[in-house]
Formats: sequence, C-alpha cells, structure tokens
Amino acid sequence: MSSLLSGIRSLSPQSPTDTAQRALNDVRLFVPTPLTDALDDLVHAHTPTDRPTPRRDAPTPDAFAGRMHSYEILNQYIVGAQWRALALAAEASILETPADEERTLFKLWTYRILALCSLGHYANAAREIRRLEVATMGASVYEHVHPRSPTTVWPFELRVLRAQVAGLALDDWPTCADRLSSLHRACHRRLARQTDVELNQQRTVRLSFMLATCAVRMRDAQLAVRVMDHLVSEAPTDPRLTSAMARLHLQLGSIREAELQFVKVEQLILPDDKLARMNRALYAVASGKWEAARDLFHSVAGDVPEEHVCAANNAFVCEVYLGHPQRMLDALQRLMVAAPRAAGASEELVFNYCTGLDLHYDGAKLREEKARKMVDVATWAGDGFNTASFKLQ
Amino acid sequence: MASLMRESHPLTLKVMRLSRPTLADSRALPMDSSTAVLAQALREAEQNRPTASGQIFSDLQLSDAQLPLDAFPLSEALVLPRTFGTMFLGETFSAQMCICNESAFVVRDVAVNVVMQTATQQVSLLENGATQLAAGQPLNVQVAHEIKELGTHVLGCTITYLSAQGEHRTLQRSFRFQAANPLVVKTKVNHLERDVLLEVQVHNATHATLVLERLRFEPSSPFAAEDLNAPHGDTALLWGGSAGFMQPGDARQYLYRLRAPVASEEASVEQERAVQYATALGKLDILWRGAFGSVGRLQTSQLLRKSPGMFLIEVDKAEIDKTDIAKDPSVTLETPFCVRARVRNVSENAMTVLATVDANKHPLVMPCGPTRHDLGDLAVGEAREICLEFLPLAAGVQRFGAMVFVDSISGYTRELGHLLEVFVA
Repeated sequence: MSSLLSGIRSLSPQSPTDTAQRALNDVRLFVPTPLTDALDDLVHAHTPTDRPTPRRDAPTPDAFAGRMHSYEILNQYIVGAQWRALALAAEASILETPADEERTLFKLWTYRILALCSLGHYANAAREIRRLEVATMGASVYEHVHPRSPTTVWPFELRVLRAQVAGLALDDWPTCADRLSSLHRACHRRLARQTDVELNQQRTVRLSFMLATCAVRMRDAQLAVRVMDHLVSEAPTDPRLTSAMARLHLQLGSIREAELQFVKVEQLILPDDKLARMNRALYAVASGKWEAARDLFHSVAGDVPEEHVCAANNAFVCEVYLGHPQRMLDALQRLMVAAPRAAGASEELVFNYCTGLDLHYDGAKLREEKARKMVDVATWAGDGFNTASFKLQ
Repeated sequence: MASLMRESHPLTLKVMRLSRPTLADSRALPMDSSTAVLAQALREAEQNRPTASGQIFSDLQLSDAQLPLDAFPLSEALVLPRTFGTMFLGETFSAQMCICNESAFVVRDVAVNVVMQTATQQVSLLENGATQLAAGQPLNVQVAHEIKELGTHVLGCTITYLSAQGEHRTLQRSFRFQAANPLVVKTKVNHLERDVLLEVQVHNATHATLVLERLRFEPSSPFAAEDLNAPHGDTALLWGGSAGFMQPGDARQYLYRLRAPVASEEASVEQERAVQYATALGKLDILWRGAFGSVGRLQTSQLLRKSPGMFLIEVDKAEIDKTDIAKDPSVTLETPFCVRARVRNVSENAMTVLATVDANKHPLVMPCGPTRHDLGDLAVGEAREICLEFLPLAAGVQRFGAMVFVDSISGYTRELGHLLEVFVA
C-alpha cells in the first residue's frame, strides 16, 4: 500500500476494518435491562410484613427470551405502562429478527428505547442509541446528509427519541434543541417539495412544541415564547394553540400577555366552552383569586370529576390556598378511588396528596398514611412511577 | 438530672409556604402518527394519564391531526410548590399553618400567636382567640407578611393550650429563612444644564426568570420626570410580549430626564435656590412577576445627587435676539448677531455689578460691540438685561460669550465659561 494511504481508516459501513460495525440485532448493542422498580421497593420497605402488598408484574428475561413478540402484545404493554416487559419483549424480538430486516428492527428499537425512557433509565437509553449510531455509521441518522439513502434511514420517532435523550440523560438541552432543529429543517424541506404535506406539517408542529420544551428547560423564556409565537401565527384561529401560548406565559409569569392571549381565545369559542372556563380559572390562579378559580375548575369538572381529572385536581388544590387543606386531602382521595388509573396513579395528584399529608400529619401517623397511599398507587400504577411524588425525606 | 428528652405535646404544628402552584410538565413521549401501530397505543396510554399529557380540550370538535398538543411542554394539572424556594425582598410571605390534635382527648383553650422577627423589628401576624380541638381535629390558619428587609427572618409560633390533665402548656416553634435581594439597582446622574439625566440599571440577581411589569420613577419636588424609554409613549415595546422577560443575570437600562422648573423673572431667589440646591431626585417603583404571577414590588430609597449649587450672580436667561423679524433668525458666518442675557442678583445682599466679555476665550465668535457693561445697582433678586453683539468667524457649532461679573461692593467675582452654544451656518 502506498505510504500516502497508510494511517487513513475508511468510514464506510461496509469497511471490513471497522470492528465497531455491528448488525442491528447484535446482542452487544444492549445494556442489561434494569428489572427493579422503585415503587415495588418502596412498598416492600414501608409496608408491615403482616399486610399483603399488591401483586405487581415483575418480569424476568427468561419469560421473554427466544421468541418474537407481536406488535399487538408490545402495544398492550404500552397501554398498561408495563415498560419493563416492553423492554424485555422488544429486546427478545430484536434478537430473533434477521439482520437484513432493517425496517422491522428499527421499529423494534423504537419500542426498546421508548421503554427505557419511560422507565426513567435515560443513561441506558443514551448508551444504546450511541451503539446504534455506531452500528449504522454512515447511514441516514441525519436525513439532510443522505436524503435519498434507502433502507438505513432511522424512523422519525427514533430520531426524535435520540434528540430527547440528550436532554433527559445528560441535561444537555442545547444538543437536544440542535437535533430537533435539524429534524425541523428536514421536515420543512420536504414540505417545500410537497412531499407528505399533512404528515410533515404535523411533524413540524410537534417538533416546535419540543423545541419550546427545550427552551423552557434551558430557562430561555424569550426563545420559548418566540417558538410558540411562530406556531400561533401559522394557525391563529385554533383556540387550543392560543390557549397553549397563554398558559406558557402564565407559567413564566407574563400575566399581561397571557391575558391578551386568553381574550383572543374567547373570541374564537363560546363563553361556556370548557376551554374558556379552564383558561379563566388558570388566569384566576395567577391573579390570586382562589375562590373564583376553584368555582371555575369545579364547573369544568362537573358532576363526573373522574372524567376531568386535571380540572378536579386544580379545584382541590385551590382549597389549600383558601385555608382548607383537609378538603383537598379528602377530595383527592375520593377522586383517586373513583379513577384509580387516571387519578390514583397520577404522579401529580399523588404529590399534591402527599403535600397535604405533610401539612396535616407528623411522625408515625404521617408514615402510616403515606404507606397506605403507596399500596393504593402500587395497585394501579405501571412501571417507572416517580417515587419522589411521595415526598419521603 | 435534667431530662434530655424533648417535651411531648398532644398538638402538632406544620407550616407550608404558599407560593404559587405551577402547571405540571407534560411527560408523554410524543410519537408520530405516521406510525399507526405505535401511535395508537401511545394515544390510549395517554388517555390513562391525563395529568402527564400536554393535551388541551375544548367543546369544539377540533381535529388533533394538525395540532399534536401531546408534545406541548405543560399539562393542565396544577402542582403544589415543590420546595420552600427562595424568599425575596418585596415579595409577600404567606403560609398555611396546621395545628392538629393528635391525641385521643379534647384539648381546650388553644390559642395561637404568630410573629415575624427580623434584625430590626418584631411584627405580630396572628393572635387567635382560644378554641377547642377534638381528638384528631385540625385548626388551620393562614398568615402573610410583606418582606421589607433583607437577611434572616424568623417565623415564631406560640400555641398555648389546656391539656386533658388541666395543665396550661405552651408549644413553641420557630422557622427560619433568609430574604435575598432579587434585583440590583444602580443609578448614574448626569447634569444637562438645569435638568438631570438619570440612568437606571436593573439586574436580575435571582436564579429564575422574572417579568418586569412596571418601572416607574416618582420624582421629588421641584423636578418633573420624563420617561425617555418608550418612543412616542408606546410602552408595549418595553413590557409587552417577551420584552419584559429578564433571565437570571440579565440587566436592563432605562433613562429618565428630570426637568427643573424654567427660570423666570417672577421666580424668587428662594425658589431658584430650591432648584439648584435640591439633592433628592425621587424614587424608583419596580413591579415584577415570577412563576404563575407571583408578585414582587420594591421601592428604592430616595435617589440623591450632588447638587450643583448656585453662584451669587446668575445668568438665568440667555438667547439670541429675534426682535428684528426682517433679519434672518439663523446665525450665519461673518454676520453679526445679538444676544440678550438676563443677569440676576441671587445673593442675600445688594450688589453693584460690572459685566465684562472675555474676547480671547472664544476667538471664533468675537464680541463686536462694547465688552464692558455696567449693570449698576442690583437689589436682592433683581435682574437686568444686557444686549451683547458677536461676530462668528467660523462655521459649525460654536461656544461663545465667556464673561466675568464683579460686584464692586463685596468684591465677589463670577466667571462664566460661555453664555451659549450656537450653530453657525
């Protein structure tokens, strides 16, 4: 070989010298699937041994290994928030799928990464994505680099997950924003070429929302608002989008601007639309008008609060500010019993409930009440429940 | 032996700061609807977790196809404050207090006394009359206090009660927190003839984004304030949209012109002295908002300047003579023009004043009439007008009219660097 070429290593995925290249179904791409569950551990630690603990699905790798799992099964795991089972089933399916079935393999990898992220194992997800990147080196991770690359194109969802994992795993929201922006530009180019117009329009909106999330995480309020402004300008007659913009302003503290946006929404819908009432209620919260906020939230929740969990929760939260924390506790408990999956296993409601417990009880009585709540939640919650919601020191 | 065990009480006291709730972050991992298989499952899962989704609902039948709100960063659910957070000067500290009878007996004559103690004062926040608590019954009270001092604050709670055994007992608890400065305000004073240009810099010293809603300057007498920040009075550019956001560490600068009353013949020496010797400029009133509209308000102490003081002989009016309307009112090169100047005795004694124009100080605009003017006797507060003629020898903006005033009675001398600036065409 000419000395001019010595030391130069080929980057082609087909290069025989590149030992990092692996097939998409290579077992070495996987990080061991974490099988413990924080909620399980908490329940066992805090419930007296003489009391029964709720049965929770604790999957084992052997139960999934060596066979394919249908999409129907995988989707059932998603609906039931059985993320450990999904991670194991996806892994087993990947290992059983031939290496040349790239589309299927990428779809299964999407399930796998989704499961790891839903379990909160962002570092593991990041590692597996990195290994996948190396395995598909030279392929179209970035569509704008190889826009016509055939079957080695990562599916859109997987690219979105890759972007989000940068922020979730490493708190690296600028990188997340860069990757999302790159996808956004790719979708825009496709729109300009009139390719899959409806799909790409929807994708650009979704990516814009995610960019707004990055901006919020980076504490860049002006960027978040600019992104939302652009979205609203493209769909000024959709009241939900203007409401979303207004709520972002409320969250950031820009009350005057939120009010202007809420007024625009009221011109697009009827005054007794639940969206209008919800907006007014949130504005009342930001203005410190707790009674009005509570009544408006109650009007949205109506007689069936379990069908409007957010509005009901918000009404009960107002009770604390009105000086009645016990009312919040009692009402939240009733709601959690009436809607055990939507409300009883909601991290937000559990957090609010435990805050109420902290205010009302102390010592052994407080621990007892929280243990009782853990058992209730464990009966209905799926995997990956954020146990920080219980506010245990 | 002194007991080392903590005294036990049938009552417990818990305190929670009532800062604003916030909307929960949406935690749904948004998926593309092009993948019908996966997206459908995720949508079903999202319906099981409404508090974790960014969805916004209306009674209108609106299609979700074009507006995938599941990716919106905020859900509709409110969450109570996660931590105590930081307390800032100008905010209102409000708290929910819960006193609970955890015993199996009735506790009588429960009286609650809450104070806020700082380095300089103690303020009573609540004095509740005696009440009775059954077993397991709570007593809820709320307190609020505007934070007006920096540093350590102690919320002190004293609960007196009659135990089941008929014993008068006292439960005391204190909760300590710090009040920090949210905004650092710096000012710079510049003098512009009789007026003052006040530069104000406001710096966000917190770790959170603030929204400046109002910054207002309230001038002290004798000044009137003109806000130079909003062009044509359009304040939307200052506070509207995202303009009011101040990220942590951001600084904003504002400019105000403080106008002193125009010197007039009718004004007395005392009025003129009040203007020239005024040191207090006014106060800044700042209003801001934090997350979900929490309000903070600060008013600075009186902003001061070093007063310019007064000379005993003042030229309180100097202008180019425009009485001859046939003449071109502008000043042109090598064409003589007149200046009318009003000289006033603002001392406490009568004077005999001689005014002399210094011909050498500003050679590009030469005096071309008499350079010595005898103003004669001037009583206290009396003014006399003189007319001076000048010849401009160079174009452009020129200073001219350096003068010396001498009081022959006391020997007091005032040197004036220039009378006016003029544009010579």
